Amino acid sequence: MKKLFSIIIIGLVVIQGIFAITADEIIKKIEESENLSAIAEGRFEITDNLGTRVTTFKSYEAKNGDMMLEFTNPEERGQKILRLKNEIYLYFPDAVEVIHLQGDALKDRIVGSDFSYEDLRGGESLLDKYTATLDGEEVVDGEQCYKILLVEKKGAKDIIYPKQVIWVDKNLFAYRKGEFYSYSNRESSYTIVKNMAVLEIRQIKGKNIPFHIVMKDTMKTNSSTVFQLKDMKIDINIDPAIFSLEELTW
Amino acid sequence: MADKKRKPFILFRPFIFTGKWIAGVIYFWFVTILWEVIIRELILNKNHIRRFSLQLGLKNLFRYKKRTFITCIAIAVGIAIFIWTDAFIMGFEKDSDTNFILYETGSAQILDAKYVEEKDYLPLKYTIKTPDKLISFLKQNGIPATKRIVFGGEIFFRNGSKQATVYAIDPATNSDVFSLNTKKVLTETSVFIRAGMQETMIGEWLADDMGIHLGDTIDIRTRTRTGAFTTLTLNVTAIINTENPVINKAGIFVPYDVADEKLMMQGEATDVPVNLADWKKIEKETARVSSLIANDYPGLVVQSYIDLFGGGTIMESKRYVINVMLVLVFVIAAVGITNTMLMAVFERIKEIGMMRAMGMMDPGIRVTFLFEAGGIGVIGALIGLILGSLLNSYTYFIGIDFTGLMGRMEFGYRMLNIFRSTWNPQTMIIAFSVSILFAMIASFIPSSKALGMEVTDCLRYQ
Repeated sequence: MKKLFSIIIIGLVVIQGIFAITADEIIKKIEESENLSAIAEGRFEITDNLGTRVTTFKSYEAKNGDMMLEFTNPEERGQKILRLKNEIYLYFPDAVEVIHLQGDALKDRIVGSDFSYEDLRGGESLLDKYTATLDGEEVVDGEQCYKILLVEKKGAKDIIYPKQVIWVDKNLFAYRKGEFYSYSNRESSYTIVKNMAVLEIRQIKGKNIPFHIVMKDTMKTNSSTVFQLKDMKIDINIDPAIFSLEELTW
Repeated sequence: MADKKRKPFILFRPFIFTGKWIAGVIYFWFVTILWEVIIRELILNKNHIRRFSLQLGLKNLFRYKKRTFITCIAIAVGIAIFIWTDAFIMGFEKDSDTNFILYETGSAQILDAKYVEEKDYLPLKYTIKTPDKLISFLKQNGIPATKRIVFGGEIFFRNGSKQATVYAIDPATNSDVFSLNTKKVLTETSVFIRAGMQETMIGEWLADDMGIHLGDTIDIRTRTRTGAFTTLTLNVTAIINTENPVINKAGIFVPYDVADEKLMMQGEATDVPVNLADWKKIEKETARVSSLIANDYPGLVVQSYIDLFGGGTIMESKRYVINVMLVLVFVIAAVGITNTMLMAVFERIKEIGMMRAMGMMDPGIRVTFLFEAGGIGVIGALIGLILGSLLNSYTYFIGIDFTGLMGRMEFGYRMLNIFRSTWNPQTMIIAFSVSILFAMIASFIPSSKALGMEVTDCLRYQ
């Protein structure tokens, strides 16, 4: 009887090992669900030493990753950001010209938020830049999550955060939480610089979309950016002309 | 390299801002007067009554002492203000240059040509690959140099953060170019940063703003050369108080090797500042360094402190202000002289008629008025020189303290709140000569009016 029990236990462990999901698979699953065409409306709530201000936007995203975001609040109305593959273009209605953001200009913050234009750059999978390791499971906001460590691959380019820790909802395969690290000259080698919390995930047409995200600069006490979607339509046809430089100036 | 422009003739410089055609008109007018009146009548026509004209002009000058004095004062005040303003502007420009060179840039820098195009972003990707080799080469040629990595960063301390410019300096060679490691700069008990140590020194204003003291630990967040975030945690060993407000307000210094490792610079440098002894001939000196490195270091350029200051526009604005002032001074002088001479001419029309009836030629009479006006110009300019020099002496030796007005405000020039002037003999000579010339030119119109009348009309004039 003892022998049979041992065999069953060993068998279960082996089966679990065979069917256990890896960190790479989790990330691929998330990235697959991010691959969609969508029109969304939302807001940024930016808090810093000067107080809190709100900017609203409307965004269009194609399945190939191209994206156009237009600000709609009175202060920034008409400003547009266009992402074509890995390139970022800006349009300012007052200047009536398109700016191709390159080099160090990409480090600038988007309308003073905790997101930079670099964060908008797409094209590559996290797995191209990072080595992902599953570091167990943890409960985040009452939800069971996979904890994944992402450490930069040697020689990888355009890395902003050399290390990331992400928590992925085990059932929804969507981000629940993230920590972003910089290099450090301390013993630990890395210092946390930003953290992200996903406060709401909505399911639209079977896809799990983060609707409410809070990004915080952990080195600052009064700094946070709330990204909140009001409405989102996915898997709809969007005129490809929207994702063009010509359209940007209209 | 700044473009070498041919400087216009010294007397025309005040008019340059209004366009060359105005200078041309003035030149034509001036030469005509010079030829017609002075050269033809006094030099070519030697038999003419030259001495008489001079004596009469001087006598007329002191006929109405009060009127002459008032006109002279108008000129003097204009000249004094001009001399003093020019000396003042030159003084704080000179101090600003000195503070810019000693604490911020060196007298010139060697940089990657592409770095220059994007220098506002302080990029780390365009670098000098072998700075040590370049520094040795420069030293062999008698040019002291040092290496730096200059990058933008955000400084964090307790609950506050501020943007700052971080200078990673080589403590061993920094003093060959900069004046940071001096008792005057380092506040009490400060220790200059050491190679290999996790140390930093920061500007006094920045330290005050953030409540940082010696011995505190601060974080500097920046990006590596590849763009990844990196955080340096450093111990504050020195608080510096330079005469450069930009350094005091947002300057942080760290050891070169610490930044080199954490920013992944692999021994490269963003700039190699050099110490060129003769700042006054900076363009020539910069060209010399350029030609020295041209063969072995293609792709590198030498920028003088003037190029680095981006101060072309500031200096041009300064020149514009001076030119406008100069013209205003001349307008004041011209109005005063014209008015005085107009009065002098009209009350002496009968005398003029009498002299003409007795056979004195018109040019001789005109020269009399020219001498009188020139005399007013000389006296006015002399008083102006004395007045201007007295004013300038105060601001040169004592200076004006704007601390109460400006506090720790920064306004582009690299200097603190005590403004000191300098001596500029060139401006004094120009102001002196041009005011006399203008005085003489201003007398031309009223004397022409009298000389245009018939002799009989002059004699009958009431």
